[in-house]
Amino acid sequence: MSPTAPKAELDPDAPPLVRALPWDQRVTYLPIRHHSPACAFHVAAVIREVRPDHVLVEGPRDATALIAHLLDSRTENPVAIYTTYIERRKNDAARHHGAYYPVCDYSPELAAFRTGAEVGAQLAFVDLTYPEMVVAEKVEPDDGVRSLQHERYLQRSQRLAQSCRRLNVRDADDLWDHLFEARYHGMESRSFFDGVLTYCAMGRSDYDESMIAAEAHDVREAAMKHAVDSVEGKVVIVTGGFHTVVLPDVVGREPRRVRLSNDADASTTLMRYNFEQLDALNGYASGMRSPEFYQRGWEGGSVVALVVELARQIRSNGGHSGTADVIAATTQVENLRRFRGHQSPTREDFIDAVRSVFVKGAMDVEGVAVLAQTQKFLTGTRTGAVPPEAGRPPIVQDFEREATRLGLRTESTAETGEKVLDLYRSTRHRDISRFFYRLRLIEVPYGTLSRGPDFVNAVETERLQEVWRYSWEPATESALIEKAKYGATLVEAAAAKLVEEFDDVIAAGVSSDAVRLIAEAYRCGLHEHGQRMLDRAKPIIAHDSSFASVATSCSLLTMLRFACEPLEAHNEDVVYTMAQQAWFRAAYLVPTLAGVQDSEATHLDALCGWRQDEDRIAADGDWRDARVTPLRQLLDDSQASPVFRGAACGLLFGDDELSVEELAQLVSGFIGGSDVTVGGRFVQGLMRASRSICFRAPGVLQEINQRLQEMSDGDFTSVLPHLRLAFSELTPRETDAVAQSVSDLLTEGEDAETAPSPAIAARSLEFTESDALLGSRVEAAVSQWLTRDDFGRLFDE
Amino acid sequence: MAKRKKKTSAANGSMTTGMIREPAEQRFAAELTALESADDRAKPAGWRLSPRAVRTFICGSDGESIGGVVIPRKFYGDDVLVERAIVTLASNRGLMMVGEPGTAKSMLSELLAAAVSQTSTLAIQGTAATTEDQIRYSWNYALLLAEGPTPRALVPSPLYTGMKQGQLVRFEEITRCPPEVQDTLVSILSEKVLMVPELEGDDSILFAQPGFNIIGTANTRDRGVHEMSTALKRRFNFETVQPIADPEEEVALVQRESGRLLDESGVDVDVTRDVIEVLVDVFRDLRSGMTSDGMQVERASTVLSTAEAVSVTMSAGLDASFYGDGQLGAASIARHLVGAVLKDNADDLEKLRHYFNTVVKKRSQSVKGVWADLHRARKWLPR
Repeated sequence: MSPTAPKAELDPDAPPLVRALPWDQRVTYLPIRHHSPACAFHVAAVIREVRPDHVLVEGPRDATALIAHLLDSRTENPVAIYTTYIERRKNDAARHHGAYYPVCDYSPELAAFRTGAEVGAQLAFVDLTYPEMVVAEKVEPDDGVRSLQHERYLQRSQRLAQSCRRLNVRDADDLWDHLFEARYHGMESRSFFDGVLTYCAMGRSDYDESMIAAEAHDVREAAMKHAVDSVEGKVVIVTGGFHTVVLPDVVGREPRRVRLSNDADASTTLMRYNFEQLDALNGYASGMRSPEFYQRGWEGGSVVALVVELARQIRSNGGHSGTADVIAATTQVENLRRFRGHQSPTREDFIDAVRSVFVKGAMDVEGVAVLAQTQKFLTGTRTGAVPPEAGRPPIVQDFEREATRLGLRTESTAETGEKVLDLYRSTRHRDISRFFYRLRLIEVPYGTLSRGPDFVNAVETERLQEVWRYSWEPATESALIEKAKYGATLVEAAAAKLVEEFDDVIAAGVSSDAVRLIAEAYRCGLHEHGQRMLDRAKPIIAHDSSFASVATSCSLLTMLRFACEPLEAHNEDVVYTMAQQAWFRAAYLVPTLAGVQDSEATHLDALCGWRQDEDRIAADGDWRDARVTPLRQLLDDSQASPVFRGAACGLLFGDDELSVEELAQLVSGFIGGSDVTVGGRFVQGLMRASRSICFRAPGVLQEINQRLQEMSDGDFTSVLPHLRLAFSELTPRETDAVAQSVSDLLTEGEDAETAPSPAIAARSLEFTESDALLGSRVEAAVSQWLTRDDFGRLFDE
Repeated sequence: MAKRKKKTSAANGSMTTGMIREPAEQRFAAELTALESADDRAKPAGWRLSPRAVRTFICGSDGESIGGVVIPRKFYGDDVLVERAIVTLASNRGLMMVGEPGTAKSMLSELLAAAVSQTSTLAIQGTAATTEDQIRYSWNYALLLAEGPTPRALVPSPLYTGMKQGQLVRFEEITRCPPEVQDTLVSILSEKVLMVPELEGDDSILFAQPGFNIIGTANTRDRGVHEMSTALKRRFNFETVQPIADPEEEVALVQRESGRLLDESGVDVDVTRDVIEVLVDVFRDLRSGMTSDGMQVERASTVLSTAEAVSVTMSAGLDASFYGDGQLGAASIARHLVGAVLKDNADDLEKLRHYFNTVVKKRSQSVKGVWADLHRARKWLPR
């Protein structure tokens, strides 16, 4: 309960929200919440009492054929009716829709069918078919799969929120448990359903006509009423309470059929499902939370058994929960139940007892693991099974449908196909690329990338085309069937796989890995998941303490922001703000480079990349303050590797924070130091960060030159590799320019006393093609002599 | 907000009782009496009120009049936590409230004790120097020498009294006591018995009367605290008190409390809401590591509680009144913010500066107003 909920009060004198249900008539209307054991119990009771000729249930009409499978003794719950529709419009790409209708042991719908069959009634689903619903509701396709049993209206309702406040419960679900699940056994069925209807009417009261129409509830209700009108004899109709509120008064209308251009464009199949998918808290939004809790209650299990089992699990994972704790927790459940006036303990009573007893310490420290475990325990792991006649797994069908749509072969052939994809110009090609990547992600053998940009690892991102080689093999199908558990479509399976990996990465807390997976999501075209992952990656970035990782995240995010066409992530504002956030976090971590000992090159690249990213993402002003202070700190830190200090120096010079004189002095100080390699490495960092220094600050070259001349031969040999590495940053043209200015420096000071060493003098002489030829001839002759005199052996060793 | 009238500290009722601060059972005597007379639900043995009435006392009656009195809300936070706490107190386990400093743990324990046992003064303050005697009982040595160990010579501790009279005993800051001293509670909590071997007969053993229980509080983020032994932990149910979730509520609370404190100290200063809003925003951002618009910032290692926000407002108010123009502005806030943030970790200053360079700067451009003032006041941050 939130104390800030609107203070509007319920008016006790207001007319009732809803007319009482008409009982003892031809039609019995039963309002339910999906996945409610209480409703299932009373639905069964009423059907046994009424003994109707027809039992009608809210659910896609075309799934009526599947009722036999639902009632099949070989079917193990949870299962789901999975229904798809490919919407084709003129001048528009086809749009894909998919939705679940999960069924578990305690689903009121299943109870209705079971008892309906028991009393010999005709059974049918009566709601719109999925295509009809899509058309009526103007559903926008997305890569998530919808639930046909969502009950969003309960969460939105202001009235229910007020009731929650008055009854001191947390939310609409808690209120439901408090009012119904906690006391249904002792209630009379009619008054139970009257109560359910009132609850749902409160949920519906915040809906106005336009909202009802926007979600096409009116069309669906008319269709369901039409089904009632078109049968004779006694009818029991079981629908979500939201609809039952108005159903008795609705005028029936036959739904407008959707014409399919191809039979395969719509499908309705029964598939296995699992409790993790069913748990609304896992983001599937298909109904009730914690299915295992309700399943146990439905099977008549006691709460004590649940407590004992949970305690064992906690113990086996290294937590403390002895028998004394089990006793205390059971007492606590019991006391909370009594305090709140429940006949049987609710889910929240149970979790509250866990919070009180099993968490030994702070809820946000010691409690996190315990509560996560509790959550998982209450979700359960049950997986259903369907009889073989129920059909092929939808994911295989989805694969074939998609491949055919994209013009890819789905039969075994001798030769391998090749696809050259133009990522930037063709939407279709992008779709194909995403299709291949999804399969690759879920490890289904089909396509192999032979060349193309790799946005996830930032390799060859400038390439415009991807080349894939692919072939269908029997292993493709068997791998797909294995992956059916991840979902009914490739999109879903890829998303589930990705989210699974992402969970691990999040737990490990390495932000660059997390962002890499996000880039993968976009590469696979899982944009909706990409968004969600972005949100989850935020705190990881904020707590990652590795500069390289955060800076890499920043670069990847910047890439996502700017690689417009192939990834299509640039419209996500959050990408932009997160890139900025990562940038600032990296800025904060710059001084920590002082402690970095290994993989200098990676960190150096990260540091320079970080500075470059700023130019691309700092659109809203100058971030100089945030940049300069940490760089200064790094430069001044004597513990830091000279490479990083050099890089900091280069970046600061680029910002005009250092004058040419200061720079020259620093360079001179480093190169002239007691350990010459330190100087070499400093220059290496300096050149990596800002190679323009050679031209903008000629004094630097002069200093280097000066120090080199003063060096002993031994020192020179040890610093040489570092300097070579440093100057390898230059392009050939730049190398030439640097050589020229160094040569100028030398000739300038050339007089009798300070004649350059012979080696340097030789380099500054004119050197022609014929000299080179002569040189190679001399070398050939010398090596010939050496071989002849058997000296070659010496050098080989 | 209109300019305050000059007030003296005599304006409050506290002068009449001659106390700086009255215990909860006296401050809310009228409410407790009303609740008690209207309470017709079953009460656990030894309790003054039924569990539900205790809840109403703490979370308020939501505007409803009970026995002619409307009970105002006293604890802002998770009501379900209050329910669990009450239920725990009625069980045979102690209640341990943990959480960051300044989240009103002690206040909640005081309210619970006042409502359940009519007294909140049976309290032991845990410190590093707390001894076992202070928890159990000690002796009046003059009498002990004169009469030997007699009940008359025994000096009861609050715990002893609580057991004898069946009342709640508060043990504040339990983790500040050395673990071996904490463990005195283990046997008392499990056996509900206190042995007094020096005395004879019935006096040598004290059985706790119904209604007795212990409410402990402990800080989780402070330094200088000890671990609790697992044996002791097992005898408590833990509840974590969180900082106030709703920013609006926090702003209101800071404004109300700091206003009250400034009034009491007789200072004439204008505390406007927008300044408090900014201060509360800064505190929430640094506390949670995330701004209200989703930007991640560095979490301060210091505890930035609501109580701390009140204290910053209070000192900034005094500052504005004594050294400024009587208008509490961003500059005063900035000056006292440092004192609150920078306690024992120099990194926090860096974090605060980073916060000013990023968030405050951004808001000074987008939101302007007090944020712009605050950004200008960054010069008060120590270099």
